[in-house]
Amino acid sequence: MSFAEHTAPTLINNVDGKPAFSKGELTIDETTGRVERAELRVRLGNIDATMTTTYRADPKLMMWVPARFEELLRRAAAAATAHHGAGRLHRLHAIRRGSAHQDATDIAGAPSVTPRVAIGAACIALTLAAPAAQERRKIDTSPKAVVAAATAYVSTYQKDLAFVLADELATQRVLTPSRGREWTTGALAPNSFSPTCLPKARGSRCGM
Amino acid sequence: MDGSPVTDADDIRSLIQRAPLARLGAIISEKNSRFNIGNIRRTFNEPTIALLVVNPVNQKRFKFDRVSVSSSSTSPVVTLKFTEHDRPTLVSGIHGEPVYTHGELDIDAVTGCIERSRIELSVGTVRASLTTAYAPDGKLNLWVPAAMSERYENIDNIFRQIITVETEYSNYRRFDTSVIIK
Repeated sequence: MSFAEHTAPTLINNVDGKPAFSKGELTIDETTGRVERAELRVRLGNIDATMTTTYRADPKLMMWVPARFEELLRRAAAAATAHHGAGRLHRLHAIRRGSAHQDATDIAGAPSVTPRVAIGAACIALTLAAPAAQERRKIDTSPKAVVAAATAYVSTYQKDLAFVLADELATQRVLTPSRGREWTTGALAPNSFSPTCLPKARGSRCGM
Repeated sequence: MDGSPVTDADDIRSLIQRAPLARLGAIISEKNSRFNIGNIRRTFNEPTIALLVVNPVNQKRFKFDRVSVSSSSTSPVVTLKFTEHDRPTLVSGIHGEPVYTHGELDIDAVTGCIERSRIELSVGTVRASLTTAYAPDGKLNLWVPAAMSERYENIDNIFRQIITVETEYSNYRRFDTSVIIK
């Protein structure tokens, strides 16, 4: 989805306080409304700034988090005429904040895009996505739709669980009221539980 | 057993080397069931058994009704009630007779992820209930069974017995192997 800001007050202001209208693109998962990539472009003075955030799934947090934040600052043609062809924008430098270090090379005349502003920009992009995400969250919760979702999930799940092992720790308690007796086992770890496949329906038995 | 440690518990690694891979799950299930105590025999107590309810092969034998919808931070979780109404049933009695199950599933409406399941059945004088709670596992990036609670009650006047089992699962890992060709 592309977006364009058209009315003040703007999300970002120029250093002199004048509104800076932003535009950009959001890549949104159609089903979940999850934002997977956000790009925000804004002209600040004679500098065109493009801030791109790419998100990825974090297995530890079990959620999508910013994985890469990239800023691209371009000085407008008018200011760069001395070196470059008139009427064109020229890429001066790309600053990446991918890890702990930041390329500190500064751009002459570039506005100071501090990390706070940069991170703010990434969040702003998400804020813009929120209504779209909410719109998408008109989720069908009818039994038919939910069973269909679960069916698809379980068929993939079965493959994902292949060759997965886990430790099983069980405590059993048996109470026989007529005899007034109760047996409790300690925590039994009889074997490793292996959901190598879903259990077979046939052959599952229960009774006395 | 009876105060003495069980010595023939199979090491999973040696079992994998010996047993045919296709039968591995069933073999482990059979071996684990030997450790069930009490007068109620059961081999259906697998944490993932309720997932079979939504398997396309079995699904048409079940009726589904929505019980409730609760909202989580990401998407709604729908509790569905299921009732088995046709044969062949998921679980059989000791003599092969059909045992109809019913229960509940908590399902993420967007992803279809099953977060909790409960399956219940009655066979003769035995009432059984098995609840599995799933939790996300960071290493596998999957929702896996975290805990299972079982309750069996024989309501027969003479053989009345109540069995409860609490099981926890941990240390999930993928069984990997590698081959070097020289």
